[in-house]
Amino acid sequence: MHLLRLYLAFSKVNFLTQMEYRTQYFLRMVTKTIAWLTGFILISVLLYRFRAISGWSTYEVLFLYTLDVLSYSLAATFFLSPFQNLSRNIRLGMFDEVLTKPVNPLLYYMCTKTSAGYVNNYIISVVVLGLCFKNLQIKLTVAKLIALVIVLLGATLIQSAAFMLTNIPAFWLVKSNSLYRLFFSNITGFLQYPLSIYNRSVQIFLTFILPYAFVNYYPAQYFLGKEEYLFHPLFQYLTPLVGVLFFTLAYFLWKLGINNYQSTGS
Amino acid sequence: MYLCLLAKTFKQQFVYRSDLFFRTLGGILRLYIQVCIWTALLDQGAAEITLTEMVTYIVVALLLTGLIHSTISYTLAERVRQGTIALDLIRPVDLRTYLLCTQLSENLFSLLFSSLPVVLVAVLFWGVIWPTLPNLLFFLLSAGLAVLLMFLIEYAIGLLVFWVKDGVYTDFLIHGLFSIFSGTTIPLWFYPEFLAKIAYRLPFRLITFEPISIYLGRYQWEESLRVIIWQCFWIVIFFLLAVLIWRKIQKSIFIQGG
Repeated sequence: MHLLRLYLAFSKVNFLTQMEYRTQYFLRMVTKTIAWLTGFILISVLLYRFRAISGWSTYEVLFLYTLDVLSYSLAATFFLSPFQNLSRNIRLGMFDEVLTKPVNPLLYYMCTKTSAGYVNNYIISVVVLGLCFKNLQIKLTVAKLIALVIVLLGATLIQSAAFMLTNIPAFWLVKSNSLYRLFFSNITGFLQYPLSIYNRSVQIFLTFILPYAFVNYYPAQYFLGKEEYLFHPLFQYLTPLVGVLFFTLAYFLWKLGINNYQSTGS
Repeated sequence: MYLCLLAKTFKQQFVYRSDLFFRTLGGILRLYIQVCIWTALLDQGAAEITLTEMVTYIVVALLLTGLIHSTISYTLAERVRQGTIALDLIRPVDLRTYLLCTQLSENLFSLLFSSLPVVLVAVLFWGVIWPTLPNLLFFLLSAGLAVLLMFLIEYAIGLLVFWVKDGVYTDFLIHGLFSIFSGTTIPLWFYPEFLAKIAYRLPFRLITFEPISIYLGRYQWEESLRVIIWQCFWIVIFFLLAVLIWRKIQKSIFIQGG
């Protein structure tokens, strides 16, 4: 409880600093919205002509994509800025500060860098989700709503773990953001369309090695009633579990990284 | 002088060898994803295009986007924000030429070392279509013009940063418009009519879609010629626009920090 209050206090300061330049913030939101909308538009354009891709209709694919965008945005709110700049912060010796505070380092590091820049994404995502439910005639019962929240939490944990895992090598190597860039500009590209269109080895990779398919593909089967089980029907319920496990792994490596950390001393 | 800049940029890029590896890997993944998507789509029948043609489209689009990749509007923004633009303005080199040269050498570098492996993968696994000689010549000409056009668009819009003070906006704006209206990921043949109509009025289709159509032999030579005339037209427009904006800036320049 104490930690939560602390976190809220930090976030408030953070949000307020970012909102200080009101017009700047607004303009940034508008352009960001345009940029993020292109993903949705391109999917709609492609499927307008082809109607479906391997049995998934336009709104089903949009639903898939929205789960990815929303969980990504939630994770990015807390993890993008701290971890994207981890290698720089270490190099410039700014990371020392994090370790000298009497709070859990990860918590402190996260909440001093929380971003206010994803509000537009939450809005777009919720609107598109609503449109999907309406057009696919899925009744949003209380049970489904709770399931949706839980799935989003699990997916957000997976995405957060990915932010951490791709940047933690910075503790050992001085300059390392190619892994991060490869991951978030290419590997996440697999998530836009159903996993079933890819090769078996990709399906295995994204399920068992890098469990990214649990962000959207498997839970979407549950919500959309798809019976396209690649491995086992049970997988559609596993997102929260996978999220917790994957995040624990990332946290463990983060601990290892901190123990290994030696200040650059500048 | 240009050659000197080119050599320097090449040297600079070689320093990051692991970076290069990851970029190549990224390119191959992107190719693979695209091919999978189109295989699934074209499997459903209903196509005015074969898979080999589409693979060729994807590969050439990848090469072209590699060539036109530009961080110019972003670089401009950074320099304006930090005030180092003042230094650029007093250098004895024209800012526009300088930006074009460094960007182009960076792109040639990545074309040579990270795009060619991607092409190789495509040729080995799926096969591509080779163009006839006249088509190839027309394609090369229009690809060159496309690079110039994209650069001028980036530059002209990038100059707006002197007023908006933050390159993120201009960058996002250009890339958003480009990805919707250029037909790079989805050829304009597959666009719904009203969107295609808008796309045909804008210059973005001339950067990847039209050169690739020429490459694939979709056009008679009169049509190819028309594409090239359109490209020249837009080049002149954006050139004049940039000059106009530049004049305005010189009158009212305001350097931050210094």
